[in-house]
Amino acid sequence: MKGGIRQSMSWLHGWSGLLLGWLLFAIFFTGTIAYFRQEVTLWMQPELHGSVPSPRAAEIGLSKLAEVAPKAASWTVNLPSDRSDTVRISWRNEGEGRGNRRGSGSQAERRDANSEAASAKPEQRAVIRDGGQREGARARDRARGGDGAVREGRRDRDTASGSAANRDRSRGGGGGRDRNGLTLDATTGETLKPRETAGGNFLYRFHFELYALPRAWARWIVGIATMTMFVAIISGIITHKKIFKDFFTFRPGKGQRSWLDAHNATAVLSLPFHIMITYSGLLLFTSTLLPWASQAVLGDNPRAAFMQMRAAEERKAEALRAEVAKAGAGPMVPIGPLLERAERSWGQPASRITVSDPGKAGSIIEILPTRNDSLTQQSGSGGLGAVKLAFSAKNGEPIPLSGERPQSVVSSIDTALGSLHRARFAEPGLRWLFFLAGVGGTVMVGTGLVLWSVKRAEKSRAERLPFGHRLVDHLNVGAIAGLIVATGAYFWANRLLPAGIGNRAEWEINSFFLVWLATFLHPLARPLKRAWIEQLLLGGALFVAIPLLNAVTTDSHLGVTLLSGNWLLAGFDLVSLIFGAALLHTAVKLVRHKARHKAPRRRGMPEPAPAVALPAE
Amino acid sequence: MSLTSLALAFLAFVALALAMDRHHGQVLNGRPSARFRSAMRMAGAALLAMSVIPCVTAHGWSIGLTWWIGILTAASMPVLLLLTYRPQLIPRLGLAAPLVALVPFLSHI
Repeated sequence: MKGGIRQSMSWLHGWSGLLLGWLLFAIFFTGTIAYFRQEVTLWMQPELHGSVPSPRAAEIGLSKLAEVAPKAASWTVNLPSDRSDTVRISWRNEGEGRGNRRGSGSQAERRDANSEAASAKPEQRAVIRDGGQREGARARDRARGGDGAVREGRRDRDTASGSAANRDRSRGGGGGRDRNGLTLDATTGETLKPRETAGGNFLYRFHFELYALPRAWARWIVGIATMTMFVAIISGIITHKKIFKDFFTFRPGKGQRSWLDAHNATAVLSLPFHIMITYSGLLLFTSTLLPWASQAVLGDNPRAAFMQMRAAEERKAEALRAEVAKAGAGPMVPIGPLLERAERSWGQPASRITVSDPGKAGSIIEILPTRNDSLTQQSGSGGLGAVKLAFSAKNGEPIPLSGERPQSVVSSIDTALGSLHRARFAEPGLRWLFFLAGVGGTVMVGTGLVLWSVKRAEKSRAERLPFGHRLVDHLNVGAIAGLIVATGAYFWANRLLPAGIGNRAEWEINSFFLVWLATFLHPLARPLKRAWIEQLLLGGALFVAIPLLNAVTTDSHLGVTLLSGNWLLAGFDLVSLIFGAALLHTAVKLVRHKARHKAPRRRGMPEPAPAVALPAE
Repeated sequence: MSLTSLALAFLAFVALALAMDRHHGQVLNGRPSARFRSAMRMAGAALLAMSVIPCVTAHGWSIGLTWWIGILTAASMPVLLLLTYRPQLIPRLGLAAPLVALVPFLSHI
């Protein structure tokens, strides 16, 4: 490399960005959608759309539990929230759950428990105190991805409805295997039977564990891509000569210059997000990429250390139960006043109620808030708020809980970065801002990939571009436009596959990959520009028509959801519509575009559309 | 309150853009005088600093700053798009922004 630091950085930026750019585009695209994975899953289960949240939701859930599981060891009610309209209940029978799970846990779960324990830092160990729950929920969460999805999906189908709903419900299930759960209408209390779907969860898992690869491999691959992204960001900042001068600059219709402007603008205007999301993503892979660090802290047997810590927690819980039991057994106090009290103390709605030993002496009601209100709070079980309140079920007396242990500074920073990456604390407005920044990141990676090609095409004088260049051009189509088409097909499959078909969730995923594969084959048979145009048109058509598809296949279309102000569902249709329109707009611009360089013999590269009209949902 | 912050940040970015030759030309024609330039820079910096206040008072430091950074992105992107496609709208929107910033306070009157 000759020239100054800027040249060498530019070289580094170009190549590091290119080599993992296709993967990074997929990670950004699916990861951005994953900010709304619960909402996407909800959209993909129309059977749940009729449920309307009501103030009686908690009572509906508890009375259903008393009816179907009067003898259970614990009950859980997940209340409607700004991300869900239904009541989800689950229960754990005596002898089931934690202990049992340990015994019969699948290999995958055991492995996860290991890595979970390994990633727990000593200061945090005490704080993963509903240890079982958190670990259980996550282990399960993981088991859902990849091959796990299939295995678990089958099991769930026997007990209840959709796998994604089940997964969410499982988080309420006291952590264990979610054998027993129901989704209820939040107004009528009627039991709902949602279709099986891979939901938003598939896209979420894909963004860091890909699919069908051994988990360790996938995490290594995505981990390396993340590291490369970090290199690309830093070298990109150094390469960018006029960060401030070009801060607001976008010059459309100027070929390479326009692509560079679009790339720079989306990079610079959400730079804090890009740095945060990449660095925190890297930290989330620490236990994969640097396993020695946790081994040094927890010893060779993290599992044993973890079990030990959990045993201590359980002893403490037992003592608490004994204390509460002194008041004797009796009917449960009404839940309303307890919820009111909890909500007043947090200043936000409750999201989950857990009742241990319902009806027996020592029964305790725990109430969780919807979200954390500080980044340094550990994420509560299931990603809900961490500050839970406990009451005696007999008389409603508050029970003091040992709060979070103080964390070291390093540990707090780690927690904060983890919170920022997952954004579980984000209320809807803030979630949209994360989404917007994610769209910026997706456009940044996409324009960067195209730029690599455009830049070299404009310089090249060869009659025919070299093979490597043509390969990049070709892969760009499938990796960018193709992924969009595949995602559109995935949503269409959700509505078009018959609701009762076996392995339904798998077929949704199969549709996604079959279509994606096809988009890589398609450019082999077509000239480059035609391939771009056709795939953009197809993707645009799929997304623009999603509100229509929804109107034909469900009763919860825009005509209904907009009128009733149901933004949870309307949001999906509207974003699809806007995204699809942007894709069509881009396709039309491409059709009108004439190759601009002096060498008209070569097929022209696509003209960049306005920054908004680029791939990213 | 996030609306107040968004409006202030938008105004800040408009001011900062007007301090730059290229964008000054797009919006108001001609080059900015040295005095105008430094006044716009100061106003932009002050408005940016002000825009953090509603976020932090409403959400606390850690989540408030997260809001603020998100809002900076959400406020700067439209400025870029307007400068590119509809620069003539910027003065009008710039005048409307302070009013929008006051909207969340209406309920207190």
